Amino acid sequence: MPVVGLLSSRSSGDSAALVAAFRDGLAEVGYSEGRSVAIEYRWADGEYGRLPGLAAELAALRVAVIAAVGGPVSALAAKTAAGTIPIVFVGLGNPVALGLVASLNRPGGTVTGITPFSRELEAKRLELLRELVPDARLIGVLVKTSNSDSEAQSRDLQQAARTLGLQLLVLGADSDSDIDAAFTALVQRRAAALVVAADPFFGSRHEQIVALAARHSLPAIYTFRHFAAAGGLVSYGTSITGVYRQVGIYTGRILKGEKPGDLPVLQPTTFELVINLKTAKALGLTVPLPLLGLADEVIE
Amino acid sequence: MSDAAPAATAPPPPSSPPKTRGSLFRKYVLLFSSIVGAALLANGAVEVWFLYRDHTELLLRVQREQAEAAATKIGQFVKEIEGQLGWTTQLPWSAGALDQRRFDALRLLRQVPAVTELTQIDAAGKERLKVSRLAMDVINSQNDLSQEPRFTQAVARRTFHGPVYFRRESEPYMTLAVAGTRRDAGVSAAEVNLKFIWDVVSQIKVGNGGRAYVVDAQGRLIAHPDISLVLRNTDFASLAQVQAARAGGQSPERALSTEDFQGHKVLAAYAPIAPLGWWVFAELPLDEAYAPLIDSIKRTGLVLLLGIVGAILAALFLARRMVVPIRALQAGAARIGAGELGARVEVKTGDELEALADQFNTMSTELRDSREREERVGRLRRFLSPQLAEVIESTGADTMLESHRREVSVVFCDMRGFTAFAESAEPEQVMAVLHEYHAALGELIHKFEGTLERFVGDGVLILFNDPIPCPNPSERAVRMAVEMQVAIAFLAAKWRALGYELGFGIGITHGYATMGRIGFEGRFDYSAIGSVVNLAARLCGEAQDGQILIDNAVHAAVAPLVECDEPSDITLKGIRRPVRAFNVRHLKALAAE
Repeated sequence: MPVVGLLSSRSSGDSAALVAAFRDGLAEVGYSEGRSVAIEYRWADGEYGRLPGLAAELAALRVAVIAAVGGPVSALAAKTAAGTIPIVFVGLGNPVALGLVASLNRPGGTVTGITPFSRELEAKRLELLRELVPDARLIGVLVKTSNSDSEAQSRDLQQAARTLGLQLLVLGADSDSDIDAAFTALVQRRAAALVVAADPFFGSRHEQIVALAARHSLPAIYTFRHFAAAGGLVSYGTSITGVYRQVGIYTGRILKGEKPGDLPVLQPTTFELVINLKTAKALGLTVPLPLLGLADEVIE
Repeated sequence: MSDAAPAATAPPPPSSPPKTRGSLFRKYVLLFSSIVGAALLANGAVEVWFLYRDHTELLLRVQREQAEAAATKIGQFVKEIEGQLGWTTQLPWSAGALDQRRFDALRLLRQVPAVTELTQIDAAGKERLKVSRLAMDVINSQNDLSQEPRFTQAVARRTFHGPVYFRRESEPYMTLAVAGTRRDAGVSAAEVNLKFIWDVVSQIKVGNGGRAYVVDAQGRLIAHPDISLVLRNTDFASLAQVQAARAGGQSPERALSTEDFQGHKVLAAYAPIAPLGWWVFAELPLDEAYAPLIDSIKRTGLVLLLGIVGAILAALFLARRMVVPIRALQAGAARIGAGELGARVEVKTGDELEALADQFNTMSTELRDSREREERVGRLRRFLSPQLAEVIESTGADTMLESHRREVSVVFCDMRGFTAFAESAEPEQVMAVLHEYHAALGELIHKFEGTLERFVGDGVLILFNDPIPCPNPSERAVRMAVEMQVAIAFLAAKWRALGYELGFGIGITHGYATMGRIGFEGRFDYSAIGSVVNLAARLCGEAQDGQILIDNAVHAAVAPLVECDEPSDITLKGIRRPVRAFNVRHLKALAAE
């Protein structure tokens, strides 16, 4: 029975739905865990520094494929440790610029994956947020400093802010305490709203972030549905479960003998806009009709 | 066994049939089994051909229907987007606020997930509104798009289908533009994500190993279950099925057997996507398509094999029925050839062969009888003239040679002076004289149908009326004797010229004698015993050269026919009373005739 390694920068606790989606993907190409495939899980619990060690563990187990999920950090750690073991990654940002693959069409090496359109959407998120908070002038942005995309994210947002006539307050955070500190800064600077940039770390800390936003009555837009589900005002981005499902499919196809170098890096283009009306009501916001019309899901 | 059998092998026993090139048995078996085999083969081939045709037609129809269903879906997908775009071009630009238009555009994005970006262009070709899922919306930028194909072509033809392109290298997109019916309504252009088409195509199940895919009007691959092929911008224009679609597009079959892009043999069917000029292809690997057919061919082959085996067995049986009696006849003929006459052949087939065997047996029996008759005639020939022997043989009277007593005429003749001649002459001369002498006598014996009883040197004993009875035996004897005297006189003149003094005398008697076989197994003679025989020899001994002495009994029988000298009573050695003898001078010519 082949063994697959799942290397995640997240924690197992907040990944149940994602792991289920991954298993669905494997099952779609004929592998079911425990019967025709075994899965070795390695969780970094948001501590990116542990990833290289975990990746090395999987490499030592000589797993057939490593699914490196939870951002490019995970993928890069896996690539360093894996040698010739094929890798399927989920990475925000540009995998070519990160050196993961030679091209999106034909990755060429032992690495392929899925790159959700998240970074490109930062500007769109700012625009959507402004629809909800039309009077805002200063808007905060939470980025993960150690994320290789954070600078590009900030740059895109700055450009969009200029178009919209907004000012941005970009705050970096690499730890739980950083997040707390960032919120304190936002309150002090009287930011009217918050864009939480795409990063798996924030994804794994969604409850903390949503709770802080609620406590400080700060309207915020997030990347993935689970933020809105946890009480976040609005989320706009790729369906992350769909992405994990695709990771499972690719992993299974590689198990079946396909070369990762021939599997193009996928870029999902279906986005979901989820609005939490309860939160909007609590914040005293009126959701404009066009926005409601565009929403894929409205939580009441 | 080959013909080149080692020389050391023993020659076949004479009873075995001689080896011939290609036995009847083999010919029958070959002919029969090849006729039956050919019939079965032809039947199987016809069956398989029809099966193949029906099966292929059915498969292609199913595939064509699948391709058509997919083409319909994709066509509807495009038509629906065109319809939605049409709604956004209802109003002239002079009327209605941009906000309302933006609301409509966002609603369109909501309703049509495939549209990623929607641009509205006014009648002058200026961009008035752009809403996007990916980027920020742009309102009233007034960018000049009047020269772009999506504007010019849409205005000219109401709808515009742009070429397929890939965003960020991997996402398939197409620009779809629709112009409003009013002149001042402008154009709505949507960037349509074609992943939907990929989904449609990848959901089509063509058998187990088959696939469906879509190519555009130029033959470029647009959708394929293996997305990487599409992303690599694969050109399928060189495939036979794509060429067929692009060339003769609307032909009713829309299906063919060909090769896919990897060179695997496939059954391909296709259908056009009407609004786009694209094509949907459904391909099924030939291996899979014909698997049931191949099973069926295997079954047919098995039946065929069984049939041929059956035919061979039947042929063996029939040929055996035919050949065994023929071999028996052959063996029978060989036995006859080897001398075993009367050999019988047992054939109980109840047909012409049995009739032939019966005839053979009849022939064999007749051969044996004939041979036995031949042997009998051979035995008789020693004693009788050939014609007489035949007569005896034909009457089957072997018993004639048994001991019996009969009244016979006995002629005894020998040469005068032979003993002296034999003593003085060379043996070769003696043999030459004897040869001429016997030849002359033998001819006459045959002529008068006498029975040559024996030669004793120059002495010859001849019987009449035995073993075959004849009328007037004494007359025959006398007539023969007269001719003998003439013949020998002629010879004697010749011999005299050679210096041999030889004469010839004859004695003839008539009376009862005992006749029969004497001797032992392997050397039997037919012999006459009795005083009449001795008397003939004595009379001969008394006869001078040229004389024919006959006794009373003979004289009594022939007196009217012959002129005789006065009888004289002769005292003979071993006979007590003198015997009256007549010398025959000559036959009474006219009276005798």
